[in-house]
Amino acid sequence: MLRDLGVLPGTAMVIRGDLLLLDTEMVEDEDEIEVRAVISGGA
Amino acid sequence: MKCVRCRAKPETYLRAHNAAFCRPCYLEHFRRQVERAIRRERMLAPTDRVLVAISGGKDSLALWDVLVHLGYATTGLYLAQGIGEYSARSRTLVESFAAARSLPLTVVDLAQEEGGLDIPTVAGLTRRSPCAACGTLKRHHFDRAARAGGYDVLATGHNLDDEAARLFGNVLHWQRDHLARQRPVLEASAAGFVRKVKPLYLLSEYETATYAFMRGIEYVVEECPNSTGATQLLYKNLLNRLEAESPGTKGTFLREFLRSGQPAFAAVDERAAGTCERCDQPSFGRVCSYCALVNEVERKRPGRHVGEAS
Repeated sequence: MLRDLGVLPGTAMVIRGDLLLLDTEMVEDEDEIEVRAVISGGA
Repeated sequence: MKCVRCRAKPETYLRAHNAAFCRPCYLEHFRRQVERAIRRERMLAPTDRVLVAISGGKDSLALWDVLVHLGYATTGLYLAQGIGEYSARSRTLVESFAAARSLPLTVVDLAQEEGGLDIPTVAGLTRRSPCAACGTLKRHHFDRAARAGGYDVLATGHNLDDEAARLFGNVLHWQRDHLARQRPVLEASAAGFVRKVKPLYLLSEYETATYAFMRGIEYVVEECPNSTGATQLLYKNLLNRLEAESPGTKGTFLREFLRSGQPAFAAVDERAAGTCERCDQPSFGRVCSYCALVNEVERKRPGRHVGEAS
């Protein structure tokens, strides 16, 4: 899924409910998933 | 895949370490990494009074949480920058974090400083980018707040990605003086500067975000609106592409620089701080960068004239 979204490994957390998902875990169609970027910065 | 410590079902996997962790073991692992960095670099003494720079983001709040867990006497320092809804949201989260844990928090409102030095005002009146103005104001107020409160050290939430991106930029431009001073511990080189430490310098953004999430810390997820197109984000993206192909690259880049490159630059760094003729604080020029900024804002502020007393 992350590959399809063009998200590099280690740059986003995948969250289902109050748990993080590993890259290897499958998600179901009815699952509500948050892909939260972890990169921040300025300057 | 199993947790490397307890063999339970893991919740996170760190590619750079080829290690998976369940939640309790990850939290313990993260805290130990911070503790080791503090001990190895002699960042903090057990009796130090520590001022922690808090932005409301994952890194600074995770750092504050860990330092409290490790038993350090900490006070948070939040700079209200006046960046619209972003600043309002971050301030609310920082104040909630401190209140929920009964932690002392100092708030400096830039809009109340020197007739108004909030980021939109400063960036609008000067030629500086918001990020450059923000950096100058932060450095000044961190030192000032630490001096005023009699703190021994200032801790910031700079992580591995921040430090690797900064190193990348310094190398691209061969900023020798910057390379000489890029360390996880910056000693107080002159009276008026406070000692600064970066306990998260070897932990990636993914690791700090994971820690904050697992601890249930509410932080500002949205990016600062001024950071769009920031050079540091470009460098981070490039380094993350390398990391994707070769996990561990960012850590090696920074660690090897600190081991073998930085000492060589430091050995030939001859810059010594003088005194700013405007504020008497340490400065590498006739006036410090903060006073240069304030002077420019005062000159250009509507209704003000050059030479008019403030």
